[in-house]
Amino acid sequence: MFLLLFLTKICFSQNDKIVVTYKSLTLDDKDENGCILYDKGELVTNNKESLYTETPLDTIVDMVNLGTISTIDYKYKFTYYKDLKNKTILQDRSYGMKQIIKDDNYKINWTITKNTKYVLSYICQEAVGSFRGREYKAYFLKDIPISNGPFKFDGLPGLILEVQSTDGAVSIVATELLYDEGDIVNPFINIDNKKWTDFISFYKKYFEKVSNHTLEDGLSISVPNRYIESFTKE
Amino acid sequence: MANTIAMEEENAKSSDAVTQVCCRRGASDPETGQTASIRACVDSTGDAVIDLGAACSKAQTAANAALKVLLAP
Repeated sequence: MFLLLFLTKICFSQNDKIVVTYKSLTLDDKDENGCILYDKGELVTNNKESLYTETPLDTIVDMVNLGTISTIDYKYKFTYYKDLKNKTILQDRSYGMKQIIKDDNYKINWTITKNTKYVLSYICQEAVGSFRGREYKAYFLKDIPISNGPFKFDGLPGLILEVQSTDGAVSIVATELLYDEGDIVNPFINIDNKKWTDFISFYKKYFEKVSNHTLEDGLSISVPNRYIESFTKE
Repeated sequence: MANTIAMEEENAKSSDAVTQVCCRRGASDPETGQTASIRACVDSTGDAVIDLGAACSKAQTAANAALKVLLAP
């Protein structure tokens, strides 16, 4: 019913957009450089551009390396603006750099398989690909021909509703799909940005500085070298 | 004979050495979601529960402090 409504309406208006809500969990506790992120993702997209926002969800996780971490009352909101035609992303999640980052090198070479899976009761096609340190399976809905998805995942002939990393660390699953109307506005227009390579250089220096830092009394400190994407293996 | 002496010396070293119990604990920043973790060790008292509690408590305190320093403007 939703698909029929969407496909009917998209023929009439240039202002149509899809709003997809995702539950995004990154729980990587394989070593001391892992991380925990538990976010609600919201993708607002049309065929040309999109906004993806990440806001924290409440959880308490008990991990081997990081111990117990609670995300209750976390306050952040991060935004990724994506220009689908020019394949560029502007993002304000900068992991300490405190600058807008422009990522124009995030293309994933997908291989579409014969496997399918139901997501939100829609039958989705599977694709596999590698992205910045992890192997992924993505499930996309061919019936909505918008080549986009959550976070930096896109490039498939349909809207991506689910992404799972094969190492079990990353899971992004759609929980709601809505049709809407209206423009998508780039919130970072006329704001200076830094290139992705500059960010990687910044983060590598930060990681090495922290990793090599010796604390008194036999303490040693670690920070993540990866969240959804790896920052030190590119 | 030589092997026996070597073993005795090794045992003597072991009995002098202080065993340490270590624990890693992390902290996460509510404003950014960034994490940091600290590994801390304490000298063993012979009671594993007490030692682990002390090491983990030390690590958690240090992790919270480290995160504030790392994320300071």
